[in-house]
Amino acid sequence: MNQRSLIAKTVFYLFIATMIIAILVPFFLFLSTSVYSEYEVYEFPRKFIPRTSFDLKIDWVDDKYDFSVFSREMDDYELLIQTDDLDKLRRFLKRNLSVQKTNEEIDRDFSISKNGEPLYLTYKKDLLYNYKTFFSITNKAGKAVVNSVIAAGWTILISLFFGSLAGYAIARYKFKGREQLSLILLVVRMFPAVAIAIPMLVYLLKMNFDNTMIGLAIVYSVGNIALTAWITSSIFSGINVELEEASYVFGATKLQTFIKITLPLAVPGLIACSMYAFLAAWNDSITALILSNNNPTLSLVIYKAIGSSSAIQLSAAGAVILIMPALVFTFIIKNYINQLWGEVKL
Amino acid sequence: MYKGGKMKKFLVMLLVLSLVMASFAGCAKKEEPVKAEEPAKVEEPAKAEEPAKVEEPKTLKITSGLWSRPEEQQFIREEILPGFENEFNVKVELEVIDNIEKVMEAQKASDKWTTDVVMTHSGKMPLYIENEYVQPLNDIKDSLDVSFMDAFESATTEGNNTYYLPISADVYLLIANKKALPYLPDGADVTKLTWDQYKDWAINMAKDVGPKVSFPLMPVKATVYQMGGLGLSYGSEFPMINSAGMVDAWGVVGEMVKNNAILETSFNYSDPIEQMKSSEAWLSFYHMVPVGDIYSSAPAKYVVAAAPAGPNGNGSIAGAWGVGITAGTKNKEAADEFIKYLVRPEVLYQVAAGTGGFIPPVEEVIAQLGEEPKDIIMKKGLDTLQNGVVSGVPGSDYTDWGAVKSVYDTVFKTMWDNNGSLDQSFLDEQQKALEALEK
Amino acid sequence: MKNKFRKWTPYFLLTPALLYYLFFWIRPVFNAFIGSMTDFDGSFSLRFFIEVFKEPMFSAAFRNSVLFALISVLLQFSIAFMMALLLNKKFKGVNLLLFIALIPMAVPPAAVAILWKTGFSTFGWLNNILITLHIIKTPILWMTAQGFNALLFLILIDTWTVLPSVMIILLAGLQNLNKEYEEAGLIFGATKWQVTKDIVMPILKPTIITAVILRMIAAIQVWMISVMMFGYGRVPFLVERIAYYTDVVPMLDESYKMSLTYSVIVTVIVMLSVVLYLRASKKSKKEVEI
Repeated sequence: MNQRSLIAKTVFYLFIATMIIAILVPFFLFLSTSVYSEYEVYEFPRKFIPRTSFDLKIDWVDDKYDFSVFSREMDDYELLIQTDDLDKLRRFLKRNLSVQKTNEEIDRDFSISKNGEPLYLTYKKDLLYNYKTFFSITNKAGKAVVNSVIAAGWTILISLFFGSLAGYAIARYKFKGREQLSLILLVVRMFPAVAIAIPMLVYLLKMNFDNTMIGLAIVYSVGNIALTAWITSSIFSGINVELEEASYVFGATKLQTFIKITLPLAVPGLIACSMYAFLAAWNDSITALILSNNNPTLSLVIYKAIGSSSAIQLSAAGAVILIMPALVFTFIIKNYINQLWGEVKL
Repeated sequence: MYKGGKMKKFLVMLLVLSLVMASFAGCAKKEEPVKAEEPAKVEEPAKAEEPAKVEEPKTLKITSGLWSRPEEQQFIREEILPGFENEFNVKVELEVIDNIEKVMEAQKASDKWTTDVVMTHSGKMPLYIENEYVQPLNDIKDSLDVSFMDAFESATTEGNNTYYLPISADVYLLIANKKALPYLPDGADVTKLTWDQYKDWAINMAKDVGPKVSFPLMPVKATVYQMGGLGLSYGSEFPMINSAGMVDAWGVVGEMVKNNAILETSFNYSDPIEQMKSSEAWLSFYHMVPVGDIYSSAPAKYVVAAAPAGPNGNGSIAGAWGVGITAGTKNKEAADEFIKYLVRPEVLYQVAAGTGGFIPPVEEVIAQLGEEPKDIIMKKGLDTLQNGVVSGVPGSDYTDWGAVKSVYDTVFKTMWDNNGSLDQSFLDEQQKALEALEK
Repeated sequence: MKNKFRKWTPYFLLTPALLYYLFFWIRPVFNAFIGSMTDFDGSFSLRFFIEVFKEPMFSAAFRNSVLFALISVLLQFSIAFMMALLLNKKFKGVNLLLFIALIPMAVPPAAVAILWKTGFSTFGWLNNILITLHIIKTPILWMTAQGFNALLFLILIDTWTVLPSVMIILLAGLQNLNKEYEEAGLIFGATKWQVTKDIVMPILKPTIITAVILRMIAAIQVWMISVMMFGYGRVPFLVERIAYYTDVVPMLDESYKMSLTYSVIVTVIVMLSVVLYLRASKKSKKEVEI
């Protein structure tokens, strides 16, 4: 018996360990990419902990500064740029190494090398450079966050409201077309939205829902209502009818029963649905681009700012900004899925 | 049991809830139209130089496809726009997005013009002019006293009207990691290469260290332009696929493919930046903006040169970006002033140098170019533009340019799968497919 | 009075949702169906269907979509189920583990693409790790995968992204499961595995069906991950072809029609799969009555 449980335990921990590694490693690497300077993105093999400073070698040759950085790959100093223009040096330090210095500081530090000896010095890197750059590009970030929250909130409300009502009906009532209906509601997800995205949006534009958060929520809810209905119908049918009937026996009305008994039991499912609804609204940028270009959500702002850039580290920074609130939401919500209803007895 | 009554209560609750939601929707709707019509914002008097002005500063909105990279946007916002804002007391809002057509289409269809100034690529200008997204700029052009290169006139003008002023031009350039220099064939000068020498160079490297050429082949991106430049060097008319010159061009690339000189990972990229910066690749022939990006990341590591030459000259596809004013703008005066500001030689030079290293197509600016890395890129580009064989992108001659790109992708992939060889009948067949796409 | 309301209640409850769909979705879809069977001059014609079937990439797209759906649903369901069982237990740190398991869900699609592209490129972090751990000497060229390998590649990335959302549904269902049924089984001498197989799974049937169907529907329509990693046309899928016609070559005369036709084909395939699956699971449903 002991051996069996030992094996079981090992498998158990192995599974957990794999899960953790498979999820966290990519995620942390992504986080550290967001803090890389441009130079570090292309170092190979990279250290996983981002650099905090650079070792530089400055040489005064032919009336120009020979600027080199210590490369771990080559185990030697690598010549990067040769110039005497302080502006160019300042910009190079900023853009490529995330080092912020003024012209005066550079002049003061570098001119020591004019005496003929190569100068070795270390400059600290600004770890938050990517994030700062990001905010200087996007000047409406605050408003966009509010917009995202509103759009997501509406999506949750609409989806849960319409969806759970429908889900309850399907689970509890026998009516004509019930079998077909649950399938029909799901048909919405069966048709590729890509094909009808534009006609659907033009329709909303004509109704003056453009640039409103509720307009966005309407589009986001299209898929989510069906999803909610489907999930809640299976959750509701899993909730024992006897519990509800017991409550009627005790004098409660249908509505009271629904609110006090059924709904609380369905909370894990509802939470799951609200999570889908939230993420659908939060992460979308394409619909927002067409429908609400002048009143953007956060993910649209990030999409526009980063878009076709090949600066991976900046894209990573933007993505981290977008992920953080979603993570917080997930963190708060997860407790509600995990609540156990063990006390409910038949 | 008041079951009936409770059901009524439930329905009432439903109704109330819907009303509440609708009223929120109404509130939200009302807010936005007001915002759209009043771009004017009341600014705190931060721009203190101005003596007490009675009028509030207006907001000029620029929608651009140019400056897609965050560093460029940052540069424009921090170092170009403030000068204009201070001088004219106008606040400028810059928005850079990928697919401007959809936005323009929506503004035209709804007649709600929120964009005042638009930056368009030369390939799309005919479309914008035809769809009336932009208005003529004749008076501005006449009032200016800078001279523009006339290479892009066919795109920026229609009939007697000028709709765009070109502010940047781009061509394809060669870039090589200095580590590749030892592999140059005998007698070759990297600043004056022929395509034959380029090919031998690539093969020399392949034989010693493996494939080192980046030839970005991501579908529907730039395969057509790289091949187009090659074809022009051999006398082919862009974008013919089966002409004698083009066959020679395919042959040159085919040789490289056969000798494993081109990195297979090129299929995953739409530009050589990652492959070059990580040193996976040492050689590439590509659009000058990514080339400028690579070069300025470490100017001491790379060599940039004009496009290699074929029997017909240095061939390259060329494009330009122009600034125009939207048809329905409400800020015409501010827009006019902005355009005039942008084409001032000292401003335009800053823009060119601080962003991708485009060629500023204004004679007065060209005269100022020096020896800094970006200037060097610009000069090489200029060299190609003025002395090479260039062609624009005839996007408006075809029903769908994306489909044209796809044909090129098909040909290249077939050549790759056949280890570098293509037969004439296949090329003829693809040419027919191309012609079927002509308008 | 009571009976009348009883009969109409479900319809009341459903009406809001149905109206919603009528307005915002059924119209364009209906038009799409009609449009796919109408020629340019307005007459009825199936020529677009014929053109689609004749397309060089159609068979690859069809095959990829079906294979992807089959493999990924199987894979994802199994792993998600195990994860849900695991996270249903009470042990120290289970809440934290749950949070970790949900992380991939919070990552937006564009970020997923960046994450994996930077991971699998020649000098990306995966090769980085492997080389640092001395598992390989030179970088592996992951991204040059073709054909089936490329498909597996995409399945892997998709699984990473999608597992949490499948797991949540299963977990929510498990949470509702009355522990007493399990305990009863254990008292009567069944092993943990038997309890899971014969008691938990049947009760969980509706939830399982929901999870599998939702995944099937989504999996048959996968396209974005293929385009973001490899570009158009390299690993074609049915909906990827739709995106091709709407975003890459939208100006061709037949583009819109082709995308409608593909959409109809996809919808039919999805519906068939769902119906088949439901039939198959209904057969065993009859045996389970608690």
